[in-house]
Amino acid sequence: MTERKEIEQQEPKAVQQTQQGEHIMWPQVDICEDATDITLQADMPGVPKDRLDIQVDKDTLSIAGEACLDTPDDMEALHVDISVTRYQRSFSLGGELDTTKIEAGLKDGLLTLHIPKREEHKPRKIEVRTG
Amino acid sequence: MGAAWATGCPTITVSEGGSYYRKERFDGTFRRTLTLPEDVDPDKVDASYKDGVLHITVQRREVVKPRQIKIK
Repeated sequence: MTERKEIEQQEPKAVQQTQQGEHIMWPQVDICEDATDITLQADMPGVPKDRLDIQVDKDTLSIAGEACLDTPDDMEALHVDISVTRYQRSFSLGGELDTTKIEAGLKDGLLTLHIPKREEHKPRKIEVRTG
Repeated sequence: MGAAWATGCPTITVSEGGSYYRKERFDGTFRRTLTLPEDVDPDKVDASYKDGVLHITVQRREVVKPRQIKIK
């Protein structure tokens, strides 16, 4: 048996320290806009649905989650890439977005939010009347 | 906008052209190789995938597991 290695740790840039001293990770996001919605996708691997917390307070959207990495109790880590299990990030939403109709889905650690635009910001087709 | 992204709290707004777009997530194929100790049993590997996390359990060969010898 080879000698046990020291636990190696790499902190990615996404790891941040909150004002309370807690270490958190910013989930990486993709954001795209189409005619009717803004779609936000966030990588949150390891977070089950019941550990996900999405809140809208006025114009601030906050996403948070706790990754559950089931390491057996009788095992000790030899190598850890990411030691932080708390995801947290906030976004300011423009007034053109309808924050009351946000839809959220979670699949394979990927959070998808659909944020609809307010009706007046959606493209409208004008029917031409024939006389 | 750039400063907001640097602090991690971006403002998401509707753009006039309808093409607000930001890409941070990785996509494509990836690969990572780990060297295992010599005493693992390549026939006893289990893998599971849950919530975007891959768990691989590799068992060690029986012969090298510590055994307790009972005194008769």
